[in-house]
Amino acid sequence: MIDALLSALPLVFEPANLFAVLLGTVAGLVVGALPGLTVTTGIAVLIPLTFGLDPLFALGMMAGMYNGGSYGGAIPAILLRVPGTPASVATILDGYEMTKQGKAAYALQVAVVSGVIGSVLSAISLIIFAPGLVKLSLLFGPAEYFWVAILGLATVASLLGDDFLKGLIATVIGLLIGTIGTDISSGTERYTFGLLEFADGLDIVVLLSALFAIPPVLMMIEEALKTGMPGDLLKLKRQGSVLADWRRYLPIWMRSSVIGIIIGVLPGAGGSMSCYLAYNDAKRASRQPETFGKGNPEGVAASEAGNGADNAASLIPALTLGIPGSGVAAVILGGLLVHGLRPGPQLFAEHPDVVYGFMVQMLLSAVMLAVVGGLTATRIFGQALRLPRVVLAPVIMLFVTVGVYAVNNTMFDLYTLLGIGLVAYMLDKLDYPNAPIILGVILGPIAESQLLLAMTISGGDPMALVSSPMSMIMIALTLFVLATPLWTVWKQRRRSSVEPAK
Amino acid sequence: MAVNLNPSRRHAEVGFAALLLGAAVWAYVEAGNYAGQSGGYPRVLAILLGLSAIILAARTLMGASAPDDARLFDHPGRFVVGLGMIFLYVVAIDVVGYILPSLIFGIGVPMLLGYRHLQLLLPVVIGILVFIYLVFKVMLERPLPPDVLDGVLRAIL
Repeated sequence: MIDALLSALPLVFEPANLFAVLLGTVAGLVVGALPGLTVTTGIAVLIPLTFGLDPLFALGMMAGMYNGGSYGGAIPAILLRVPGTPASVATILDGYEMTKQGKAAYALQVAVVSGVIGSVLSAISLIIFAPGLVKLSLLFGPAEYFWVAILGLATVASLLGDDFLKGLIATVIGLLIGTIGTDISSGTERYTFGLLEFADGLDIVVLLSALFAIPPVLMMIEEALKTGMPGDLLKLKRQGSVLADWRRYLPIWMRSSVIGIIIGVLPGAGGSMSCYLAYNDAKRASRQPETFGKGNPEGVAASEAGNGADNAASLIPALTLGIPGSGVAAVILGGLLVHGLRPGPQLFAEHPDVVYGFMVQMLLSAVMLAVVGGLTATRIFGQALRLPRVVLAPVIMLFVTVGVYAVNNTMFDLYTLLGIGLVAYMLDKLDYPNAPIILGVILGPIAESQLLLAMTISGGDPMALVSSPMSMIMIALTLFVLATPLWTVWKQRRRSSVEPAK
Repeated sequence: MAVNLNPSRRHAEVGFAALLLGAAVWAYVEAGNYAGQSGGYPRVLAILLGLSAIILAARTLMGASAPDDARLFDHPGRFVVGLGMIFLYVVAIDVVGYILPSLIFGIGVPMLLGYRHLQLLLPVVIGILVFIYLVFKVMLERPLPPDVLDGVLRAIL
């Protein structure tokens, strides 16, 4: 490994390849920050553009695009409450609250530093542990994946907000939306109204935009404020330095990164689950869990570190086994194939300089993100908040409509956006939390399909769900996640009953 | 009896719970048409949604969580204007294309709401539309809704 790494380094640090990483990171930031454009789209567009170029130049752009796009999604999430990517939803919970409190610049700082730390640790784990971590992912079959999805759903307990019943309703709505489309086990179309557009389910970009972009736009119009945020509130240094508070964030960065790396290694689990799990863990470990969701920067740190840590780790099964763990990994696999590189164990033997070079580029792009994301993009995008709110509202709509249309090239998605957006506005007005809906939509289908698969393989024996040690570990973790809020409530009640007695 | 377009929060809570209950009943009945195991999971979810909606409505009617005097909308007139403009904007995109409706929407909404600072409004909206066109259409070659201005833009770029 060391020899391959040393032979790859000179290639990675060639000026053209360095420029490719920088270019990819900048492009990724723009793509991630624009609602409707995903990292997958960005890389898919890159592949034909890089055809015929040096593989490390092409892969450098992809590495930059991946890390840049991953952080880019946090920018509109924090500033406008519009998640650039599904993985940014957990960032909204505290990030947008911080913006409302005039701490947007600090929230962006927390996001970029946390994302960089998660991405760097993930890239290091990719370089060092790739062969070993693959063995971990091979321990997961359908039963274990079912429990991973249940574990993800259990994190809803920390996202429910103040009203348990409304949180539960939001989760069930998400799970029901997740059933829309063709049931892969029987081929039956569920809740599609006979429309071909719903056959593959509701598009996540349309749903995200409707849930998170339409309500704030309507609320901004309702408020009709003719002023924007004062420039002073957007100056990075004025609100303090995240690095100066490193002792506060270090445990969160470490734990969230480990969570992100583990989830990233599991094919199919995906970045959105890692940020929710990391958020849940930070809230559980906090001395003030009640401040989460109300503008606690630790929530942003956990979500973004978990999200960043998922990036390089999700490439581990892709590069070593040829199994794409996420949509982005699938597109990157396609990019490798275009350049004549066949993913799998032989890739490390046949092209060690390219594969290790790509891993180093993932690390390099994470470091570049600190400079490009922290110093430049954050300052530029932050200026959007200086626009009067009454101008900002239609501007958001311009981005949302073009982004939603671009997903499937159909007006149907825009009308769907309108319909769901109106319901989302009512949900918002009546204080239903939105994040559990997304969690239900993403994890519901995984849980259902993996459960059916596990039952089919075992001939209908339910004991198959609890027969492996890994399943038991997942069940124990789920119970732990569910029990923590109950434990906290019990402790608080006990404390409040003891204090008056004193 | 006159219909109040800005219901109290309590009425809105109960009304929305009733809508959720209706949706749950429909989802349950509809799932009955699905073959084999396909209907089981959605039916369980529909029951859960229906029960939760009933409990929520009962809690609101019996409890004091939503005060009677609080209204659902702070500014119902502006809400109707905003919703109407967004609806017209989407329909106009369908008919005319992206550019012209976006220009009118971007400038029209703030002006309708009393913002008259055109020195800021015009450059911001036009600049953003140029940025969107360059990034989506020119650089990334993503499709935009078919536009009456397509011929003109092709000639310019």
